[in-house]
Amino acid sequence: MNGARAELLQGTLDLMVLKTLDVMGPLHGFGIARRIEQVSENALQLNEGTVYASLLRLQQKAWISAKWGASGNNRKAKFYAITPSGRKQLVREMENWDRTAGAVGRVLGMAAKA
Amino acid sequence: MWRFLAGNRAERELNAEIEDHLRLLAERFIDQGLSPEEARHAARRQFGGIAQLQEQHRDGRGLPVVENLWRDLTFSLRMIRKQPGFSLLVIGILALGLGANTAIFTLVNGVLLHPLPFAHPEDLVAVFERNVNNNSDFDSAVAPANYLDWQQQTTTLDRIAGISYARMNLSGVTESDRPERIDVCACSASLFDTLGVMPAIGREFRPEEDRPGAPPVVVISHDLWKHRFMESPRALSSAIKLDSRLYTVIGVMPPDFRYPARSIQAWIPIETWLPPVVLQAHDNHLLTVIGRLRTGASVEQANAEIDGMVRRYKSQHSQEAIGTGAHVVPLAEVTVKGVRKLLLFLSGAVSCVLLIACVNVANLLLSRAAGRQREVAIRTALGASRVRVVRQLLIESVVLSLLGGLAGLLLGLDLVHHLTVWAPGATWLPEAATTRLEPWVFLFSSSIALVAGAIAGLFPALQITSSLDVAGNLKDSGRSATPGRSLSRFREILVVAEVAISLILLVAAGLLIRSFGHLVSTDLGLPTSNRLTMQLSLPDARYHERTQVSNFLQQLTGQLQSIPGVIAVGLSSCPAITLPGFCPDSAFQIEHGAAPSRRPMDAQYRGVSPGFFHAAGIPVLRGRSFTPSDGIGVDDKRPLPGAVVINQAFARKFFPSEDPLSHFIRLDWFVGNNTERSVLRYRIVGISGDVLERPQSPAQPTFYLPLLDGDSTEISIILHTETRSAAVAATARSAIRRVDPDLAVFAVQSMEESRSETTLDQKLLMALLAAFAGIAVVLATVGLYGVVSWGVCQSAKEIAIRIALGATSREVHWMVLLRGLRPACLGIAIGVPVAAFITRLMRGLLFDIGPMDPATFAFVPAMLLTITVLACSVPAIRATRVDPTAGLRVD
Repeated sequence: MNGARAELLQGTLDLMVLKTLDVMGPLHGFGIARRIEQVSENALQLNEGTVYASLLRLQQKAWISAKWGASGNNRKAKFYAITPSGRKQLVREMENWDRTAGAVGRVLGMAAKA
Repeated sequence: MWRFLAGNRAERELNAEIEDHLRLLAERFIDQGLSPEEARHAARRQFGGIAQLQEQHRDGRGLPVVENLWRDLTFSLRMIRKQPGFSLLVIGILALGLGANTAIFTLVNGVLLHPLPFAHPEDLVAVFERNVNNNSDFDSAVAPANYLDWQQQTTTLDRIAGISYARMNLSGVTESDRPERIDVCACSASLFDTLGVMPAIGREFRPEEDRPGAPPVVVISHDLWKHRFMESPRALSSAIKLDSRLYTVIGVMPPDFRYPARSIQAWIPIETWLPPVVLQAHDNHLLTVIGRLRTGASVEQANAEIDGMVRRYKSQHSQEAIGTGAHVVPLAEVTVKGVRKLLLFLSGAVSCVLLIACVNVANLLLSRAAGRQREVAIRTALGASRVRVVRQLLIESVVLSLLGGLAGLLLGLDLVHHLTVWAPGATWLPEAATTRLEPWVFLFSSSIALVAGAIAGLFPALQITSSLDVAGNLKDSGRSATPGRSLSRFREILVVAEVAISLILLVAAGLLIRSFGHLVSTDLGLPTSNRLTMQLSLPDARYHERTQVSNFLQQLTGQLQSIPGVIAVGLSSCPAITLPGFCPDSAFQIEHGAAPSRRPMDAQYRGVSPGFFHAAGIPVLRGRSFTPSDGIGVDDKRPLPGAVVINQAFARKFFPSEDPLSHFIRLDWFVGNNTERSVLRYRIVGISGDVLERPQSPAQPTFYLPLLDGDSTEISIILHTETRSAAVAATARSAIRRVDPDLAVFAVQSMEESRSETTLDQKLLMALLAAFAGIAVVLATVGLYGVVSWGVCQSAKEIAIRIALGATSREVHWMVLLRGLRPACLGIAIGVPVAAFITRLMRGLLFDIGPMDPATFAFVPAMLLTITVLACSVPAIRATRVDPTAGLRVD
């Protein structure tokens, strides 16, 4: 149906989750969603359930780890942290993103000139 | 189990996380001023699909397969219970197919795969003499002296044993014990050791007990021990009488030991039984010889070694009637010879039945699947992946198939049981004991059930999920103007397959039925109506003189002749119709002038009474039959020329260019109670018509000797009666009792019964194949009917529109008929050439008709077309009654 867009969104969501965890340190799912919302300045329409889907995928690839801990108001919550292999993946993905974004930007820029 | 619990815990954790998240989101919305109710909804919206997340979570976890399998299984059972009629139909169809396969595999398992229930059966071989009397390249039984030579000289065989059989009168030591006839195996002491089976109780023969003149000992079967000795251990060292001779019981064999035949009840050492003069003969072919290969020796080495021994002997004694060589073959090959092809053929046939059952079930599942498209669409919309749905549908069909397999297993074993009861003598039925549930049979049945379920379920599952347009199917009311085109196309293909396979089976069955018709209607050379036969055996103790036997036979003839309703009485040394190899044969020489021919010759022979030809209805074409004086007064010390009658086959083979009448033949026989040899001369006095042993083989060259010479103590009686009255049997028994009250009369049956015994194998094969073809046709008809009537239901609207637009009922009728005829004709068109190819493999199983029998190939397609028309006419008539307005109103 709308597979192509979902695919792109999925890939970028995973990247954003990894980056968030890399920058912020261990966070729970709600915190990750809030952070992405805040940093993207509400520009992204995000189904927050997909954050958990992303977390599950990243966990299965062992790029993040999960641990139960106490949240700010002292409730039990699951905290996610980036693993060393996740960090390597993040570097790779960011280079990849830069290349793609740069290329797409150049193409779009050219199209605008013509 | 742990995984389930762990899985559940992980799922609970995920749910807790989601709930937390939703609560936190809702709190934020409340802070922004929404009511709690609105906040909860907004939170749900912002979060998105929970079910998909849970599904992804399950699929992604390490091993969700087991858990999903369990869920699918319980769901399947629920679906099966929900539609009991449909489920029972599917289970029933599969039970038929799987049952037939189980039954045939039971036979294959018992007969082909485990022919020899002995240790290291691959080392067991059988040894034959080859080409005795230049009698074509034919494996023949072995002469005792040759066997004894091999026993002493062989280095390739570890152990070797000679076997012969006899029917003996068994009586106890006391006179009050009821006498009975049992089959006895006379064997070398090495038999049990060669096979690797020891007596269950007592001991086996010692070598010194297998010497001429040794005190007689006997090993008895478990059956005999049970019914004669009530399983008492005191049976050992007690005595039994076999043919009036006392034998000491030394052992009891295990219950499942039945070598060399299932009827054998006792084993005695062969050298105490065969007269010494016979033991020294190189030309008296009577032994079955088996051996066990020495470790490391091959069948080829054994063959070369023993073949060499026979060749050397033959080169030194070219005049003796001994083989020009020997032939060593694996014993298993001998026991399954002739049966292998037949069982493989039957296996092929039942596989076709199963295939048709699968196709039929696939068809049924498809028609139900069409009704379930909405359900599947909903499940997909709720987040089930295609793999998940296909797996679910597959599991459902496999569960159905396994239930069908269970029913089929019981059905199959029951079928085999009935076969063994119905046709106990058929050579390719295993022992009754092997019809119990063997692990291999169980394994086979359950695995084919699994495969069948997978095949039957896979196509429908793929088919219904392939064109899955979720939104479309949800909107669709489930009844569109025309059924899904690809679905009905697929179902038509299934019907084509069903018709084609049924056609193949029908053609095969038709050929066998026609062939069997030829078999039973072939003229064997003698009439079978109003002929009653029975047998008796004269104990040597009271009938060791020729005159005693001769007198008895004359009295017996007189007594039987006086029975009211008996037209003629015939006696012979061997029944008039027998299975091949049952009557003995003998070497003889033909005198040309004064000198006998140089070449040894061999033919079957019977001793017959003067009334035999008349009573049996065998014509004497030239010369004369025997008179009451033929054979009377034969004296071993001073032999006189006797009279012999030959059959036409004998005349053709041995007198191709001259008139056989008045020629002399010479027999070099054992006489005087088998203590010496003597040459007897017989003048050919008559030529009789040929009698076929079985319709499939040409008449054997046979010569008839006068029975009244008292040489044979085995007597067959044939009575030509006025009517087909069974009452004569009882009168005949009492007539025999008047002559000798101690004789046991056995094998009392009509000639029709004896004749049908010789075609038992073919009858069984025909009946089985006809049954399989019948099942196939019924299944194909059901499939055809199902597809056509389903089509009518689905296109009721189209039909209604056509009727409304003015189509006549005849046109509608034709439209529906064509829907069935099209796949049926295609199936026939495909089936005929395939059948023509397959039936060529049946050549050996057919009698007197070609594998391309035009009648069969014309009749079967015509029959299938008729069935198609009949199957389609019900839905066709229903179609013509579709109410044109009702069709337009729907939706």
